[in-house]
Amino acid sequence: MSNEKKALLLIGSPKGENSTSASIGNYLISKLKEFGMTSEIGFVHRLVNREEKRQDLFRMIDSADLIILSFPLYVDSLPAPVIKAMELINEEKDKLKSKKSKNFIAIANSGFPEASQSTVALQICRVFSKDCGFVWKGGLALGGGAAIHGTPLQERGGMVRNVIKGLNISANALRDNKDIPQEAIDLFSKKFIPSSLYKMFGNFGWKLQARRYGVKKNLKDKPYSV
Amino acid sequence: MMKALILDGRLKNDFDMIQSLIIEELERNEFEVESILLREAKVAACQGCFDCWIKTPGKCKTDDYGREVAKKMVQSNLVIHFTPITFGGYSSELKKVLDRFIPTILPFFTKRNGETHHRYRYEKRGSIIALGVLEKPNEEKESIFKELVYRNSLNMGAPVHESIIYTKKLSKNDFISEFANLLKKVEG
Repeated sequence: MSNEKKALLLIGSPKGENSTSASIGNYLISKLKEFGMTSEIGFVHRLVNREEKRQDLFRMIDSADLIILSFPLYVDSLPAPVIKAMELINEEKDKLKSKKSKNFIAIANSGFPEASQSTVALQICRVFSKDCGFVWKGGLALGGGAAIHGTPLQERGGMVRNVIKGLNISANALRDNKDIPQEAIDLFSKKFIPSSLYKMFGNFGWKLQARRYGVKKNLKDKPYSV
Repeated sequence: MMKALILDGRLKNDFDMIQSLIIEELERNEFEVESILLREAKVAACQGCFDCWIKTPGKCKTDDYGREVAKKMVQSNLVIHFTPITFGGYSSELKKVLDRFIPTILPFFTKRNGETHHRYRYEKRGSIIALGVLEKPNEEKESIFKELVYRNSLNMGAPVHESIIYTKKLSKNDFISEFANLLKKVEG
């Protein structure tokens, strides 16, 4: 890619700037900027409900050479507002003013330690990319996203070293207009905590938080029992 | 009487005939049927805050129709995901209520089929039949859709899960006979 190219980061988390989706996407954007790319960031949940915001979304898509969708896994798929955005973009694809080719990648992060749980969500992204006439450059999946907790990757230390390596390799590939290599996909998806530890810390964490809000004894309540 | 809940995630008024056929077939099998046209339902997007686990266990903090749908899902024997197959997945209208299903499971992790999942909050859980509609057959989209339904069944704890794809190439009789066979599995 030449230095004139523009990357659009679409953040598909309701937590916006404070999300793990943003931590990951922002790091990748920072690498692409080092290569001379310009960038724009859109927060999907704020772009789909009102008509004037939807026009902003279409303008962002229209002006991008590379679209990066970074999202959390919600019930085995993408969050509803992100699917809404995809439906809208697909409906409007023929009205895009710019006829330039657009590369598309997707990055999923989930609260489960196994990155493979995001496979279906990335397949949905690949089909979306094809239906819209974008060029699919690949998908990355991260498990155990709660351990990043929306903080900048550079501040998470050695725990995320493989995540960073995977993003660095991906950035190099995207600069050269290549697909994300398997090496990057594998590094990015490597568990940074064993599943058993993640489960133990996770379960402990939920109880701790519930105690803070005075509902530890109610954690297993069944308000909808017949 | 068994309860069936149709979560109608269609984005426009198409495939009405399919909806009528499944309601007829369910009633013929003595299900009490409720169908919700989700595009007319005001349901806010899940905020991913997990308050439904750690502040108000079992209930979403957002007091809108999303709560009611979650309750109906828990209290149904069969939940039908009726949706246009959208890039291989569900429509945004169906997904907005499925995202709000989270309060009905527990935060705690467990292992299921070798993977980490959340424990179930309720002992009794509904089966799922996903009815995806497509203008024309598409192997890739159909395969992704079926895998998504399978993964949902793991997370939601559906005792029976089945997918049925309707395209305009499928005859009305073939469709309804396929649907009737799936219902038999649910009735077990």
